[in-house]
Amino acid sequence: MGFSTLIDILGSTIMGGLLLIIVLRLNNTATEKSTNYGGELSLQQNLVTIAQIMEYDFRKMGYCKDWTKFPDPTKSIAQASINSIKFYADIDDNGTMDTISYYIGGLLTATPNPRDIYFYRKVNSNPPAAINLGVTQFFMKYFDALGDTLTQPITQPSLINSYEINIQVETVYAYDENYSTAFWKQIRLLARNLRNR
Amino acid sequence: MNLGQSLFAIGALVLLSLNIMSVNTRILQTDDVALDSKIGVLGTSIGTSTIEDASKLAFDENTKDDGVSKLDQLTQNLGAEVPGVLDDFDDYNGYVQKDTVFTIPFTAVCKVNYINTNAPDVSTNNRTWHKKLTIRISTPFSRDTLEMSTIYSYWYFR
Repeated sequence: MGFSTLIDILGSTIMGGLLLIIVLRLNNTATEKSTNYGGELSLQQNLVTIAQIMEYDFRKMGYCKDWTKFPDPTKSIAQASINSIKFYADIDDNGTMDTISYYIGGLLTATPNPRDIYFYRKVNSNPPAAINLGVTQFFMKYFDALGDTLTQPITQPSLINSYEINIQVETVYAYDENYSTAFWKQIRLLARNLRNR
Repeated sequence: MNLGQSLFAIGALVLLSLNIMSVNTRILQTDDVALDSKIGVLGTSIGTSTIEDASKLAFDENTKDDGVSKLDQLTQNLGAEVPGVLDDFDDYNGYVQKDTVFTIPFTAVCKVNYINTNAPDVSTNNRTWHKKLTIRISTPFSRDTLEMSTIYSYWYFR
């Protein structure tokens, strides 16, 4: 075996090693991106699902099919705080007023994400439905009829004319703990029945 | 290593490089789409919020306090009577709203037109009982411009 043959073997070994590293990195990146994109997709679907549920409920705030059962829309909101809200709405359109609450709970321990929390939706006296869709933040701001921000805690919910809903959602599982994040900020969503005063 | 082997090796390397560049390009393109989609959610929330804000106002400057029964009682020129004061629906004509959500700047440009019910996509210069608000929301962080619209019709309790 001559010297040039040795050089050939050494050179091809180095080149082969470099190629192997490149292919392995490519494979790693492809796996990471594939996981992240899957997570992003479910993340945005989760966010849209939460937004749809909340918009449906909040828009009906103060509404009752039989208006005589709820003639005063200023009483639509029973309780309001930065992380929770409780209001009245006839969400199933049966002429009976329902009580709907949204609030957050403790940290979810069953998922790898260390920040996701329980997010509850409660209707009447039914057990609360925990929305485990990777919610990591839920907070609200409230405004009066002039558009001024009401200071917390809200002692007179009847002053609320509009509000702002903020939700942050993260992926529950992530590659290498790089969790994706998405936000939804509904600015001053006005329940139509709150204007009737 | 003879010349043929060297050429084969170089060819293989070129193919591999092209493949890797192609994969990287697609990854970056998909990143862009994912970011656009996230920004789109925020832009949509700004659009719906603006629509909500506009829909709470009176149909016209002349219907704020009293009802009207004839079309010629409505305002011909749409837009804010007092700059910066939005007290009826058509005041949003020409209104530009700037918002910054999580450090992403958004610009919403609003336009209000009278429309006919038989052709709601076409604006008319004649006064009708229906006005259409169109909002175009853009941000330097996204290639897309979102467009949302709503129709507001005049009604009053007798």
